[in-house]
Amino acid sequence: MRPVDWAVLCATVLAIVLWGVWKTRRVATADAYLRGEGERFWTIGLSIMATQASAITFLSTPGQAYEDGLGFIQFYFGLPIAMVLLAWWVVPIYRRLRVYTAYEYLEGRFDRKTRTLTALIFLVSRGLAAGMSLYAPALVLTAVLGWPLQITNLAMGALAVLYTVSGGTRAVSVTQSWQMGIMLSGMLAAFLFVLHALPDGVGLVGMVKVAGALGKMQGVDASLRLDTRYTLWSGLIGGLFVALAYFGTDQSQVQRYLGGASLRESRTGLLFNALIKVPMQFLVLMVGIAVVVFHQFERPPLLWNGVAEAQARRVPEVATKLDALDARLSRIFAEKHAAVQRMLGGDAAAKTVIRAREDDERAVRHDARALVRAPGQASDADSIFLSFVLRHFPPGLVGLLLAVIICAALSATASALNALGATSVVDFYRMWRPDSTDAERLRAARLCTIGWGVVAMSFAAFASLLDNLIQAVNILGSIFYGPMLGVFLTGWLLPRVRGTAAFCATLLAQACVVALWLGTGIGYLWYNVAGCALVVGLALVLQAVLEYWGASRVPSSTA
Amino acid sequence: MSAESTPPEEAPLRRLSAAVLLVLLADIGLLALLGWAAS
Repeated sequence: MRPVDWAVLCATVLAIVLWGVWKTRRVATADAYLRGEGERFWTIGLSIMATQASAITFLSTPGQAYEDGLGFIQFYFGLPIAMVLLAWWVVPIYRRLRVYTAYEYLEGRFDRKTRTLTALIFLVSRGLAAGMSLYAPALVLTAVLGWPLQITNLAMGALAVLYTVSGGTRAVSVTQSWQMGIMLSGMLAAFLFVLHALPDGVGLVGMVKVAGALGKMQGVDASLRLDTRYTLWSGLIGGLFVALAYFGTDQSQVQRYLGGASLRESRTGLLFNALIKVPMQFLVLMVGIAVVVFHQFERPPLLWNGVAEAQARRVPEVATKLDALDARLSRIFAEKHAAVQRMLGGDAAAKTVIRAREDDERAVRHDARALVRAPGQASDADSIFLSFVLRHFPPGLVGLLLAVIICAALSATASALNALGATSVVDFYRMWRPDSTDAERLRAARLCTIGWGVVAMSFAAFASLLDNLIQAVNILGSIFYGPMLGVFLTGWLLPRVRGTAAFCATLLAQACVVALWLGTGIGYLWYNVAGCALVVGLALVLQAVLEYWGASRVPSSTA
Repeated sequence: MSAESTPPEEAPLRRLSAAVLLVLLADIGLLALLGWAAS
């Protein structure tokens, strides 16, 4: 990295952090710290987007488009529908009850044990995910730039803790607006640069033609296959459930819109996010598409993770095999390149050759990755974008793109720490010490935020030793979301169901989803639908049984 | 229930919600069209 890149990176990241600290220096009450101070809709919308967009979104999404095309965009099709439902139906409930956390609502609606169970599930899953939001980008930065892993983890974690502890919810929201601005402008600049770097005469239309011939432009798959991860239906239905669960019940998101100046600002913030999300993801995926088209004119490397390749090449036998694969990739590239030129010249038959050579290239890359795979390393696909940036981008733009990744890591981590601190204080500390003063609650919220920061940084520090645990954390997120949404949906929709039935249904459904994960091969988006439907169904049945036995005597709904 | 839960200015929000769903339909349609045109 050149000095100008360091200057752009440090100036961008530090300016936003210091601005966030300065802007929120007068936060002095627990209410202001936990709820924020009346944000406008654009701050809420940008903050919601920045919370969802972790660094790995910007690192791995272009890589995903490079490998599999635009199909991943279907994951986001359910999101706008969820935003409309939440804006009309759920935000008014939360604001009317003036809750700080989503789980607080469940005590009024059901009982304390249901509130505690859901808050605990949130603390465990989000606490580990906060560690991942530091570790995953640090791993790629280490692989591509050679930065020391632990120092990168600690530096990003400490910066996020600094402004989150200082200004609470408001600090997270105001910094996220700027961070989101950097992320969007950085990705737009990246796309325009790669487009400009294509050979003369190719341009936007040629890029789409070549990507289409490679089979990368299929953004909508209307097939009904349950084992295909991203289809129109899994996106619309599964994606709707994921988005309802994430934006309606995950405190790291709920806290963003509860800080709105009014009900109208909160609702408009959600709808603002709904309008922008799909086009934004399209832009990020198109960066990957532009990179894959660029590499039809310039030979791509066999492997993108240089550190992993260098380590593997220390074994002479592996190095020989990698050299053979590299030579094969050169031959495939030459044939594919010639076919691309023929296709752009009007020869439609060349598309068959392009697709066949693309499959060959995929097979070669698969074999090469199998040779270098080792625990605790960034995946080769996740390294594609950053590696490309470092090889081809001009000075200054490299710094901006690294600022995009660090901003994304900070924004996702800060909102997670903010929500973890709030849940710890509102759903646990306040119950333990109901007579505590405002100053004590503010101090407890700050201490809890620091504590969760330490947990996240510690998890990130040890994550490289626990490769299987990382995969488990990623899967656990999707396993918890369905039942979590189910218990909230039961609260919102089924006034007859009471605490004990909802609590037992949540536990049973959670066990069923785990069994589904262990025993079947269905796409993970369907876990959310199944978990949610099971809680709702089981809660109705259990309530009927409990009423029959005369065992349910819990006070009724507040929703 | 406070006055905030039934705001008088719901018409713009209704229009914005309709716009969100129309934009989603347009996004899906354009993506399908793009995939078809590029193949």
